[in-house]
Amino acid sequence: MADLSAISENVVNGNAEAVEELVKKSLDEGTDALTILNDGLVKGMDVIGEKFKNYEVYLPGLIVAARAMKSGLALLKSKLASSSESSSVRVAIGTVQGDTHDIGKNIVAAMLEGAGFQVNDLGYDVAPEAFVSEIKDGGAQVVAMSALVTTNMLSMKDTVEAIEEAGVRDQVKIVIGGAPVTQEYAERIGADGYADDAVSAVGLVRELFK
Amino acid sequence: MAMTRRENCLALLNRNNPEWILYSISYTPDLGKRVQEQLKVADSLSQHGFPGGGISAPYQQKEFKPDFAKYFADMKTPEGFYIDGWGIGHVPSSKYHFDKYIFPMRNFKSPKDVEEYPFPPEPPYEDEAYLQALKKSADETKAKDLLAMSHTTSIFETSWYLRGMDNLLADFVLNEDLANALLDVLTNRAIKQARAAGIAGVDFLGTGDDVGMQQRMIMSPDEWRKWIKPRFAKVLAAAKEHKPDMHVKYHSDGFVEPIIPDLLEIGVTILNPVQPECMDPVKLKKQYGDRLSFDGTIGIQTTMPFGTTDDVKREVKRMIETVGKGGGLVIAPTHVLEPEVPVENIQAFLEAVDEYGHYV
Repeated sequence: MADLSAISENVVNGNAEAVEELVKKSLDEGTDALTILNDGLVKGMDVIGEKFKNYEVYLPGLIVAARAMKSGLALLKSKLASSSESSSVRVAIGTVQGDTHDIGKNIVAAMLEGAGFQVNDLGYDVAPEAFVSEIKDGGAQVVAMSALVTTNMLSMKDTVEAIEEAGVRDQVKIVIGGAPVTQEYAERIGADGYADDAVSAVGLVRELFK
Repeated sequence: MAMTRRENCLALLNRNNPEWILYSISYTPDLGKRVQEQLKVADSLSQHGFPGGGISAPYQQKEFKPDFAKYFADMKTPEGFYIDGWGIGHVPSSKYHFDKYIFPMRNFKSPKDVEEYPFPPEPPYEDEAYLQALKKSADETKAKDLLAMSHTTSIFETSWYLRGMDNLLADFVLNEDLANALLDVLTNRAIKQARAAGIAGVDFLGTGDDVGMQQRMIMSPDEWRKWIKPRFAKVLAAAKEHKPDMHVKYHSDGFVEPIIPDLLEIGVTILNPVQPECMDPVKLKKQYGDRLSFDGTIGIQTTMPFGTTDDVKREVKRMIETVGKGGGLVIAPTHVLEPEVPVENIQAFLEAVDEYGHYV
């Protein structure tokens, strides 16, 4: 029987090689990819997220865990894509137009991926139209936007408006974050939620799709 | 008896009965242009500007023509891409002045890669004539009734501009040798800068690193104590060996409360920028105000862009009356101001400094 808890532990410890090895072994033994994802990788990321919340780890610990998780996930992706059960929520994430700060956004993307969501990272300086086409053509159910500089918070508003004008607002949940962004700003521009760090972002998206 | 500008500045930084408050402010290029056209500045404000002057001395620049392009050979370089003097790739954003960095060391595997990297040449810090010329420059600055100022390279920040922040933080856990090699290069440069500043007798050294996020630090306080603190301690010791009463301003955006006692321990005398959205400047004044001065405190995520002119004036008055009590405050927006900050709010900031900024 594959040891999925060992996968979790090695995700928490940031040991990418061990995660890779154990995921391979589990697949060879016939364990279902979705089970490995949920009971191995996602569980490990939940543990590290909890430790982050409790100030036991900071970004270094979070980043190496996310990298270990990704190295395992890479082995599962092709199998998950062909599995009918993997109809997980699709997230389009990006740093909004004008803004080039993507360190925080990258961590949020990794955490969402580590929570089992299908994440399409659009990068930085992402135009409103790019988010819109992710909803229309890419089937995104969540738009996650980041901004570090107050100037570019306005691009979040522009993007919400572009999504409304395109007539796809009811197909998508919009969540925002970034240093100067607040819950109040989320409400003001008509976003569905705000999170103040990467771990809270996972909780927020889970809550919206409960 | 009225103080000179230099006397007042030192009295302010030493919390020793200054006569008037000082401020500083800076603008991103687009805003700067509008400020220049629209701002009306009262003559009486001129005494409130920070009376600092940089020091410099000429030297023969070493030839430096590194092949930085090879560090980007594995990628398609986007439109507008350019490489700066440190080898860091820049991609301008679609708006204003924001650049995305591409890190030349992102694919490095070992300390050897770092050792082989062409870091820009340094001024001749071992050359006695150069050091004496710096001292002369500092003396001349002081004679102009200004504080002689210098600064050192950031250690963590410049390291991650080269390596990538996520890579460097991962190195803290998985590749300590590489992290040490890179941080040491920047530390050694900073030590030389600090020593030269000490020998020149500068009054004020600017240093720092962004290690704070909005509500917590990027790395844990203990990780900071392991990776960063001992290095900054060496830098500040090198400066203070020659000029024990030198002021040291430490800059970190965001929340850095847990390491303030450490900063005091290694010789920091001024904390910048004390973002009020992240830390309460009034609380910090109560806690550390007998040993630490503050530079900043006016929020650039709240008051400056989104407040009314009354909000700005009220906040300036409040900070001067609390954090500035007895001195110990250079009042300033907590970062360079971004394009959406109304010029009226900048006008209000300056008027409030003029109006409330007198101790006698």
